[in-house]
Amino acid sequence: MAAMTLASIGRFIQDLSIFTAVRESMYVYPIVLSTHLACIATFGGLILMTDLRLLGWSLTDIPIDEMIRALRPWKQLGFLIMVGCGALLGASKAEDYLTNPYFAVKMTLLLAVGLHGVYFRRSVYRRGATPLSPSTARVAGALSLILWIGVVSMGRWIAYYDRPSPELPPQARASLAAASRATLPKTTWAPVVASQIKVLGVPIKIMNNTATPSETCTSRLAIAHRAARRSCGVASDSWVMATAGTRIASAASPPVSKCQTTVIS
Amino acid sequence: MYDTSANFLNVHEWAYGLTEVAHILSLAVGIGLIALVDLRLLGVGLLAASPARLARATMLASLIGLIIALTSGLMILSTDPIRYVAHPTMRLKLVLVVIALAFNYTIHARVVRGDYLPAVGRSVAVVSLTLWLSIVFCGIFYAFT
Repeated sequence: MAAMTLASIGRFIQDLSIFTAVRESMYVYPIVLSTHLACIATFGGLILMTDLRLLGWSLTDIPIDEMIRALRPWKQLGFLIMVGCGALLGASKAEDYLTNPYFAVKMTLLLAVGLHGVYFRRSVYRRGATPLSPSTARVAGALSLILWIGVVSMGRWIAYYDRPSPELPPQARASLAAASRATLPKTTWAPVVASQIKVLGVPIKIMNNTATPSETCTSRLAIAHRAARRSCGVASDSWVMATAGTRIASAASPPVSKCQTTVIS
Repeated sequence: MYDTSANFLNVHEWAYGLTEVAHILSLAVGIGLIALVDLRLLGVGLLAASPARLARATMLASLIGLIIALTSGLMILSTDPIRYVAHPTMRLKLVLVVIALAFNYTIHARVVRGDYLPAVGRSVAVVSLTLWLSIVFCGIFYAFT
């Protein structure tokens, strides 16, 4: 039996049919992602305004508790949608997320946001609470602002983590003929391709020999696209798909799924 | 001929990442504060302040947010301008940005400050929110279409 690792747990989660469907759908994934970002864009403003008030930088004539009370339901609604979308996104790529250190930092920061809310509940956030002193409110506001900036930043940075590349089959390094016969690992990721491009300097025309869409489509990540784009000579609309080959391993087999690779070197 | 491989953001991955982070954070400031005013126009949210008062209080911060979002967005665009500008979703986004900015600093600003019927304020808020959120959607959909 395979060891229970974060990767295997993630694999289990993302292989559930609903999350596989989200990951592979043409529109659902970007819609959920857009909604997640739209929540950041709109409800982020409500958090910012509250924090500015707590810091004493804006709307100081409005009592703090009045402001918190008025914006609370909207912030809660936004938070709910944001977390709902985020959970859907994370679960559909759980294997990548659970093994991603930036995701861990983001979750830790989110936890810190919650703890800060609990800690300052009596003095600042509770209905009818009058801050012990303006400085207490300032500390709460500053903490909230810093933590939320951290959460958003780490969220973006999740895409910048390159997962360690799996070992190449030794025979694939030997010759072109051997490379074209080499069996690629069943599970491969776009970050792998990205890191290979970084190492080899040139993107490789290759494709994954796994036939099931759930295995070939996981790799359609922005980072691979960016990595491919940065390398010279890549067609501007090309996509990097999964691979674990070398520069010479240009498989010539026909496409096997709708998610086929189109990287051109 | 402009060589994208010499672009600072293409040379340093951290610089590209930081620019993206700045883009998201600043759009949250810019759009978020406008959304706060729009919610007020819709008659919800921070009712203790009038729309005009809220607009004044958020004016500078949202302007700074929008300027940084615009600048960082153009920086990202400069990493591969031909591909970005040729893409229909990105074209739509760029057009929407121009319309939203124009709308925000003309009609929106006027209605927020002026003495108009609540229905006018509500309509303006709906248009404003729709414009800004469409821009966010276009930004994501660009990467997927």
